[in-house]
Amino acid sequence: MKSNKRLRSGEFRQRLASARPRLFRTAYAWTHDRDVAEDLVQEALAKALRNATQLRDPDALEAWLFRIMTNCWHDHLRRNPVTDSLDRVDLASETTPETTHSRLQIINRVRNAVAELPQGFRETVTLVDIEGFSYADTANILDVPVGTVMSRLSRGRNRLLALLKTDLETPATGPSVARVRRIK
Amino acid sequence: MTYTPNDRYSDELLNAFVDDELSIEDKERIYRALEADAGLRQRVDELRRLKDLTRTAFQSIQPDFPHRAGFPARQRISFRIAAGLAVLAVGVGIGYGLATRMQIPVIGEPMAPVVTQNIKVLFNVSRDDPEGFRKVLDQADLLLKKDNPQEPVAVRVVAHLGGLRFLGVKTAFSNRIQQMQTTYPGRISFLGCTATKRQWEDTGAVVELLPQVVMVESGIYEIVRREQQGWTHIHI
Repeated sequence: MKSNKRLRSGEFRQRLASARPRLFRTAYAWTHDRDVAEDLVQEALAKALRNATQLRDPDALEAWLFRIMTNCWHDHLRRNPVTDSLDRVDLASETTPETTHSRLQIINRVRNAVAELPQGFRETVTLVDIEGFSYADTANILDVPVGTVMSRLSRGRNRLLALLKTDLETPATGPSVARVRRIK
Repeated sequence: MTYTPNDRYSDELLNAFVDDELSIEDKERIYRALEADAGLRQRVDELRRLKDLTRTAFQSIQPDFPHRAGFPARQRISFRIAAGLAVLAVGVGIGYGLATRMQIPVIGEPMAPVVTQNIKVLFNVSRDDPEGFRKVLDQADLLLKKDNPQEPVAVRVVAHLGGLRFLGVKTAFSNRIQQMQTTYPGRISFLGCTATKRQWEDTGAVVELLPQVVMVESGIYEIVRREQQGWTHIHI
């Protein structure tokens, strides 16, 4: 185990800084708000700096940071109960046949579909799919059993599959196929 | 992670297969089932494409200041003003560049990131050449040492035909492979060809690969697929 001095060193701060993009990406996937995501990451990093001595295994730094951020996120939700953001759903329905295939439209649809997942599913899917955490690490970060991770992942992906069905279909040959638009 | 026969085709099991969370035995069981069940293949393929799509959709999300850490919240206002000016200054140029490079993706296939300049290198190991494989690991090590948030490095080593043997549990490279995966978590993966493995097993050979090895149905197909996704292909 590294000494406290070492943990508070420039090397430790550098490792925190290196983790920032991943933390931010996940925070954004959870919140869909850059400002809130920035605040979550900042809060998590500040807490990590203050509590550096609690990190028992330096090799587990990233999972530890994500766990801190998860706690920050849950605290945030308790302080600010979520109301569904209709803006992002409206964005998903703005597709036209001409733009359905465009890259940004697909990215937006996937992001919006993730945003529509219930919180627990969203957290699990993003940690596994976006950040590549193992089930064991994800369970540790979210403080739930591995079985819960598996269940949430399965149900979350099923919901995503339903929302993104047209984007996951094998490309059709010949004339373009009419796609179903989501109508609110 | 092991499963009972009752779980054979549960959603949880198939998801764990796609996420490479199964033991070698369970993975083999699924591969055998996939050969016989087109519906199962379609389901697994769908889950894989969904996973790729989800990952890709968020790949370009970056904070305004990737290397800033530990500053109190009140200092962020000035950072954001500076960020706004910087973005304004370069936005037009970058926007033009992106617009001209943007391509329409094939629906359902993974897409390249929009902004980040990822370095994605695919090593194709098809020969039983220990010296060549050692060079692959050396080169992968050099590349991964250059990994940083602005220029993330991803390395995949596809081992098939004579090259598959280097992913075995008892080779001169086993420790190094495991060490690299620990040193660069998520940055390097070793992909083994199921078709090659099956051919060897048909001759009576016992093929035991490292537990970290991700099995793909066909090494060649994996290489072609990743080349189409923009991976730099290096054949050793």
